[in-house]
Amino acid sequence: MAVIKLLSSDNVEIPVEKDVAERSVLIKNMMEDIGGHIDDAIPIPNVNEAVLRKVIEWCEHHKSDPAPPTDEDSDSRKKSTDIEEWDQKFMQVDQEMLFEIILAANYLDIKPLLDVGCKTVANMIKGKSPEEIRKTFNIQNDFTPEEEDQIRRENEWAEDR
Amino acid sequence: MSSHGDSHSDRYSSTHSPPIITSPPNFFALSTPVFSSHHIPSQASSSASSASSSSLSLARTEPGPSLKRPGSPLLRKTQSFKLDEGYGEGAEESQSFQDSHLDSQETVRGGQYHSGSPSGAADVKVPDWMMELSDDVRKELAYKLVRSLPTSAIASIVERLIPVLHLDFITLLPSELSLQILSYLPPKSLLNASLASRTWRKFAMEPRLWKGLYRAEGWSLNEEEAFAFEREMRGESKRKLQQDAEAFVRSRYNGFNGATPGASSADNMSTAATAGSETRSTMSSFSNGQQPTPPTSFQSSHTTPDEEDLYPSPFVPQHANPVFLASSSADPANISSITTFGLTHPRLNWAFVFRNRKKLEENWRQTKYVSFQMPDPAYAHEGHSECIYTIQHSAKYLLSGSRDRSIKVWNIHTRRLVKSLTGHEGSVLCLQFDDSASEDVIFSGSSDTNVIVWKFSTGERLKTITKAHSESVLNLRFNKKYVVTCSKDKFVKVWSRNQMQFGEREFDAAVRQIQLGNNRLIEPSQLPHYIQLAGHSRPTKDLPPLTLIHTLVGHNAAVNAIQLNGDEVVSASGDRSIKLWDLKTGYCEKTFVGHKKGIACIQYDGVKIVSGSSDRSIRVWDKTSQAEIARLEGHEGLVRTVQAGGPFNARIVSGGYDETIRIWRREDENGDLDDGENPGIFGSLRNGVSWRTTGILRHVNEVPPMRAHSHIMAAAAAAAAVNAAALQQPPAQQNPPAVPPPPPNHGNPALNAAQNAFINHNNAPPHAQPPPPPPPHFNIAPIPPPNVQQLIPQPWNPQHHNITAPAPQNQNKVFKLQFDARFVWCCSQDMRIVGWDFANNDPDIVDASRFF
Repeated sequence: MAVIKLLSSDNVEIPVEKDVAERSVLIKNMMEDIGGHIDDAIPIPNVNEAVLRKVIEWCEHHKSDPAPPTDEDSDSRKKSTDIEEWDQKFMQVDQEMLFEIILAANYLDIKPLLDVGCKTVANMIKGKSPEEIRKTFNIQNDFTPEEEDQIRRENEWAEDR
Repeated sequence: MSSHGDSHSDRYSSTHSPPIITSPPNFFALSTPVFSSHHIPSQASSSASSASSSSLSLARTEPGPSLKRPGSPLLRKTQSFKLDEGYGEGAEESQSFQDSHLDSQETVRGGQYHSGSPSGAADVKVPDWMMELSDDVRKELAYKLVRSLPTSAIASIVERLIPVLHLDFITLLPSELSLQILSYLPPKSLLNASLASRTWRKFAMEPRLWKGLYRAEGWSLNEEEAFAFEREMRGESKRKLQQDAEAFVRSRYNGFNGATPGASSADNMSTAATAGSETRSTMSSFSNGQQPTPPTSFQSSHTTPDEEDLYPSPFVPQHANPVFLASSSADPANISSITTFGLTHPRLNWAFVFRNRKKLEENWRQTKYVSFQMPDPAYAHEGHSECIYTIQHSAKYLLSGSRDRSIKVWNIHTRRLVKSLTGHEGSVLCLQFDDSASEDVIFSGSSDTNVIVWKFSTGERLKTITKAHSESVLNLRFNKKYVVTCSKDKFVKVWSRNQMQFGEREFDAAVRQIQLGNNRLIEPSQLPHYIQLAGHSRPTKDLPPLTLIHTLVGHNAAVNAIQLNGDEVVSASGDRSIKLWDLKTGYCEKTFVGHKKGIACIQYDGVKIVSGSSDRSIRVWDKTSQAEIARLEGHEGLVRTVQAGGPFNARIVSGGYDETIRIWRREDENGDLDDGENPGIFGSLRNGVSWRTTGILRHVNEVPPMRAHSHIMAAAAAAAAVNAAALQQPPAQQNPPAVPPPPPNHGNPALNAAQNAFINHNNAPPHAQPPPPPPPHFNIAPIPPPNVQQLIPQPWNPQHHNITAPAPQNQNKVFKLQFDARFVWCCSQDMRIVGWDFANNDPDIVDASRFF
């Protein structure tokens, strides 16, 4: 089984099975461009070791996933924030790590991981009041009380009937 | 330990801490003084020093593995690397992340120290040796140290850690990722998110998110209109840019070029276009205003007025630009405006569209509407003189076919008569039209057994199929390929819309119809022209359009209704059965049985069939399995007309001889709309899902009986000399009635306010309920509707038929209805068409409804 090496932003070399690494479209394209073989470690300048290892862990678990369905009508369906159990556990990390995973998945172009990351954040927002959202994400309320009041009134239409 | 006051802490930390930290890492030597200051720090700002002291006490009491290797930072890195190799198990993973946490914690701390700490605690540094301890040890150390502090101090540490533990994802992530996160949220959550902060609001109100939510609701969406609107907005901002540019040019060259911009729009367009052609040659593909327009260069500025003239917009929102400017500081995304901001131009505010569609759907659910009628009461003479059997509408027009033998074309917006088509020699029972430029056609069928083809735009009679059937033509449908008709004569006939050549499948079928003598236009004796004779390569003649292709034989009673879908037709008959036919072969593929009496109306979308019957039920059938998957019961008479549609096809509107229109909603046990995504076996309704009547509309509630203003009618009709029948009106009925004529406006708010879904018109407020009039002559109640006569086993007798209804009724048997996102239109035994507008006079819904 072919193994390639990835070099994290903090200069740690991590050996990875080629199949696993190629869950990343970025790496996959890179490998194709250079003819499918490389001895040197591939630098991943935007991702540090801890995050890279976490991302690789995800790729390992999902290496035999079938290609995701081309979601043509994803637009016309209600978007689900359901996350499979393993991924849910995987995403039980602190916010900083979650943040880094999302950025890494985006940079490495691993769409399913990016989706899971974004859904995880969405679930942190879902069902919360504005105050709870501010608390969860450490947001300063920069509305004036009058503005906030007005927006609240405007939003009343969406209250459950 | 928390009893030790804060007053000590400053002093201690300022005097003692710095020496501790700056000392060389000989922790055994340091241990004693540090230990003595165990309980000192209580200020948040001194957490660093407290961490160090706690580590010492820990090191003393339980010398961990880390003590044995007080190595360099490099060593520590190696250590954590090793830990990471055992990756995959939770505990170790999370420890490896502690690294980055501590790092960032330090960063944060550093920043805060510089921002000014009252004491010298700001300068406290964690000694290197301490940082070299393993994560495990430092974690434990920090915990024990923190626990040693007064609770208030712990709280303040926790407070300081918030920025580390809680990140503002939406603000910090690249905006496309922020939008992706928000795209998973349902509307309510998104609105809550919009209240978090200004930045969050900007993201949460992004039109693309709301467009996605809009689609996800299953709501119809007029993409064309939305695109046109956006284009218009681009034009608006473009014009603004160009006005600026012109002002700039004028001020710069001061009159040198000043005449050109002003002149171009007023003068004839070709001159201006010529003038502009040189400078905009590279942009010619965009210059017609039909294409998405890129930000405009100054060069093309003087061509704009022409474009505006050439493509005037009927829908420039009055408040688009002012709002853009005025509210930008206060609220960047006002949900009550139809436009919102873009980088270069206002955009369609999908949150606004979403909100108003939601309000509209809620009005449907609660049966809130205003009603109107056609003709407008002020132009009553434009109306039919007898009852109306059929209607159909497009975006611009509504067509009606009447017992008075005419077809009337109405402007659906002004509700004024456009034209009246005459030609049939009997009641117009069915019609279908397509007002698009490529089709421009009306087909109509009549009790005179003829089918007439009209040119829609001119009203010209293009062709008549005389004696299309041997009895009344009860229904007809067409598409690009076929015209299908059905009749009281028990047959369904399929006609070609196009010319047919030898070799086509339809050609063979049509020749067979000639052989059988079914084709009335082409006698069997003409066959030699159409079949291949010896010595000829092909027949001498092609078959013209509207040649009979199939006669579908199988029903044992009148075929009351048909629906065409591609190459398939479903037919509903008085014989209580529904048949599905394949038009490629002319064979009956399936028969659906279950109705207990004759079937009057039918709809088919390729998957499901909806039928309404004289057995008073509406049934929904699964095409593939032929199973009856739902039964809707509630009508108290024959169900004469039915349409299914709305979001997720979860709305059915039906009308019948009980003089009511019922609005049905497919909903689950919680009263939420069922999106049909998880049906039961054979597409049946999932457990808990049912069709519920959410509202009942009554013609008679909206239209006072004709007597109310029959004098106006009569006078108008006489003046217009439209309606000979009106002249025969008995003088007695021309006296002003006791009931005042309805107000001239279309809506009927008073009635509407009192309107309740289940209100019986007998209980309606007095002004809505004039004394039951004697049936005026023009809708002498029992007009036996020719096409369903045979559905009723007994001889048609309204008095016996409608037992529960009071005697003066039977004037409003519903013949045909249509609905779309906002309106229901209906025709009945009355000679007026009634419409219900569920926008309910809400100007925002009306504004937004062009995108529905």
